[in-house]
Amino acid sequence: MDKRNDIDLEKMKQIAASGKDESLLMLNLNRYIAGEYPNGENYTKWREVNKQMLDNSEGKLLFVLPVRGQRLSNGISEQLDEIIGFWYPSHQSFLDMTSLDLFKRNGELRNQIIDWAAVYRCDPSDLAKLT
Amino acid sequence: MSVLTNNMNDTINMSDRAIMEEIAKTGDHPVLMINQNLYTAKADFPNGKLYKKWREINKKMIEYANGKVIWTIPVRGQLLYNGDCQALSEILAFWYPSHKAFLSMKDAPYREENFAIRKEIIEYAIIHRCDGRNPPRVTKN
Repeated sequence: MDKRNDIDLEKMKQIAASGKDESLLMLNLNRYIAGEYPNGENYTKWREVNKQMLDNSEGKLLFVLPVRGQRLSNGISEQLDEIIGFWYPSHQSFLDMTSLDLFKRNGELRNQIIDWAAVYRCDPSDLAKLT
Repeated sequence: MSVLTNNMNDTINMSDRAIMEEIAKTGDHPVLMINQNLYTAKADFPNGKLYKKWREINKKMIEYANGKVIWTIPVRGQLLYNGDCQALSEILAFWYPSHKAFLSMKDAPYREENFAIRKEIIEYAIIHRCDGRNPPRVTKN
């Protein structure tokens, strides 16, 4: 089950309220339970709801990268199925999204399909050169 | 199966290498390597001397294989986890025109130095191999 890091959430709230809010990239590293990825019923439903959630927010889906293997590790090694990048214009816009009913539905569906996951909050400034 | 590299902490996945060698022989195509790194205090990321030295050597290795640095993304935090909570410093994306090109880096003159510095600056790392035929072309609209 997904666990929220409340320390990081608090940092996000502080940034949003600082008067110096900035854009962010949420990098989702996901491994799905057997049979779900990429054509499972619940995975497909999650992607649909995830899109609806983004469409009702200021967030954008930047990229979806299927993972084919793991080349090297230095520490605990977790296999992945997929890396997904989401961009938000501000920390506040992400926080606003969490109040949507679709955000709750998105989380419920994730809990039916995720075997292992991590969501990293990143500085997206280097991505500007890709646009 | 895996083997230790010159850096006794970096462990190359030999099963995955075998898959890459097979792809290189039978139907090669571009590959994207996503590097997740947590640096040591000694690395002093992002402005430390050792870190900058590694990036210089790493760039030469990538160029040796005709690859490109697609992005370098500093990590600010981890909002969610489902399993272990693993801190990261940076996520880098390196694109190579083929699996053969990537594998050619084993002959790069900078390889020994690259792994020697990695041993000093890497606290935790993992490299995921992704399909490089359609690398991210980011548009925000």
